[in-house]
Amino acid sequence: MTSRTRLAFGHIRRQKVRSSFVVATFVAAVVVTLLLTSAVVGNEDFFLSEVQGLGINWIYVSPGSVSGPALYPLTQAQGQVVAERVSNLSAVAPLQFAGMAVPAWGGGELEVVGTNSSLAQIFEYRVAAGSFLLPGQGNLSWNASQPIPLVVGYGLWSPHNLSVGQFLEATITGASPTGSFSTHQVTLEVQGLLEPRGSFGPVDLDGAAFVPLGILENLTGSSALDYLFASARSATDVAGATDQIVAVLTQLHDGHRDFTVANEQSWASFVEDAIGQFSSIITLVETTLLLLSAFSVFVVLSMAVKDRKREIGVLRALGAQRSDIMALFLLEASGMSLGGIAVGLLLGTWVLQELRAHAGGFYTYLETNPVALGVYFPELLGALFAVTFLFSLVPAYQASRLEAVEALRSS
Amino acid sequence: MSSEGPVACLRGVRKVYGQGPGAVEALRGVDLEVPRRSFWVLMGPSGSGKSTLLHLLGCMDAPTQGNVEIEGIPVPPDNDRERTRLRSERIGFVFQAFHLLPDLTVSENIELPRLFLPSRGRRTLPSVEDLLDRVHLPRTLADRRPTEISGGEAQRVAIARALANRPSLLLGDEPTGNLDSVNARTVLEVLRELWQEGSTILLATHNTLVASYAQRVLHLEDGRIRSPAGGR
Repeated sequence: MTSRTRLAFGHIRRQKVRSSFVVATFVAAVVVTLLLTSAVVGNEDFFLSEVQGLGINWIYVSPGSVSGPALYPLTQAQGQVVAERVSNLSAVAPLQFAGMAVPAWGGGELEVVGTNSSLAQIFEYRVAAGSFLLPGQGNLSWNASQPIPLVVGYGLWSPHNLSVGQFLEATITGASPTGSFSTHQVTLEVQGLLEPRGSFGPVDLDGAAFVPLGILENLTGSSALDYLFASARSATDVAGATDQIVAVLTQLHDGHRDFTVANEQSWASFVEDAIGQFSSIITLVETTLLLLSAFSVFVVLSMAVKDRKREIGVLRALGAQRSDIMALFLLEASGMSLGGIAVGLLLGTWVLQELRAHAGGFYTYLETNPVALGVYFPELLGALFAVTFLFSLVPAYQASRLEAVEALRSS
Repeated sequence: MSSEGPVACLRGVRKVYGQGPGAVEALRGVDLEVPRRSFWVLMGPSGSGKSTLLHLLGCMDAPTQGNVEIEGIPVPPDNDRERTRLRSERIGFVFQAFHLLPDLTVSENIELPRLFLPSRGRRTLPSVEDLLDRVHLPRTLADRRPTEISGGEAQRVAIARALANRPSLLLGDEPTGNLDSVNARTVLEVLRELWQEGSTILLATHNTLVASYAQRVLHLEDGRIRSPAGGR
């Protein structure tokens, strides 16, 4: 270490509290920035893959729109019209949600979805055993003497997990998950178990059980759908098919567009917009932290100028030019900021890896790949250092303007 | 630059601090020539202008009126960079409070003025060991910190530091002011040896002991030199 750096860093060492404060602000700024950046990068990738993974070229319609509630319910009949009139659709599936309390399953409520056989194609459901709803089953009506066909999502089924209930476990033996049970004066017959499918954002695609829509309509007394899902024949058909669905349903709703239509692209752009807005907030937070860090350097360096008058006077008396004094203070500021940035990077990386490894949930999506994070980080670190340098210029300049005689006299 | 002319020369130098009715005139028309290889002492009561005169000779300050020359080179009053360069190349300072920097070792303190020496490459400078020898300090002191040496040793390190750039003029402001009489004598012996080896030394002091070592004593009073100026 040269005498010049030892002079600069010697003061950092002597003023431990102040220097630690500055370094801590930089560490905090870098760690928070690292975590937020990691969260943004990780979640953007996660949500986009979720959107892309929901199904094949999917389009959905839900009742109501941003301008108001639904004036007309969505119905299976409208779904059939959509299937007939809209070209380039390979499948259309209605969805009606209903909760069903199953006392035998510990009193928990089972999410029951009324739909038809096409849903398996749209959501890419595969059966682990038995079959999904068969063609034509969707239109079945409830008959008290007949059991209701039921397809169980993977998340509801685990021979080793009581979430499926003792009843099924007790009833179904061997490798086959199929069987029947009674609840609410109806008999349900499990005709298929789905393979794991994952989730779509907060929606667990494995957490539902499927029954024929016609039967669920009979049981709930309502023909109003919660969703109408469709699948375009190809990715290039999605936009055109979406426009046609809007046109058909608007006509069926007497010219009112009281429904919402979304597809993979609109969701992807929604996610990107949301992430973009989140990024803006993060940029604001990062900028604030950056300014706070730089300001801490300014404050501590200004105090150092007062403390070090004698030293400045001695150096000037020994022949130091004003530029030498300025360089000394800038070196001190750079040492503290770069030290804080380095510690922050190490600490932040460690925290990220620990969170990802042990915290679970949201934290598993944190991005720890430095290449991915590098998209954002060099600019920020560069800005952090540059702003710190600018904030350091003022006290460094003040130090350089001290006259040797005045500095020695005041000490 | 003349190698035989005076090391420093002051002509009609006035120095006024402040302005208006509260202004203080520290020097009132001083003429002085400091010859080479001289050992002079400036004496006078507090406020007589001793330190001001040293600061002007050391290019640390500029006169309100008059001229200062170092080895025949006029000291520009408005050019801090040039004054600093002159100071770095031609002046050595010894302070009453030593002013060694605590973060540096003895060796680094001695070499400190060289950090700022613009013409370093063109000069042959004495080594730290040579400088320690000249002030009669053991070379083993080189790696110690200023806090690990005595006051007398610290002042001799400060003298070695002042000699690091081979200055033409060694200035000292109360160099024995913080020392007991034993250490003061040691330091003064060192300074006398340096003078005998060819250095030019000018000290400001209240101390008659210091004056007893000098070749010549100048008395300052109310900003004027009462002893006659000139060579020895």
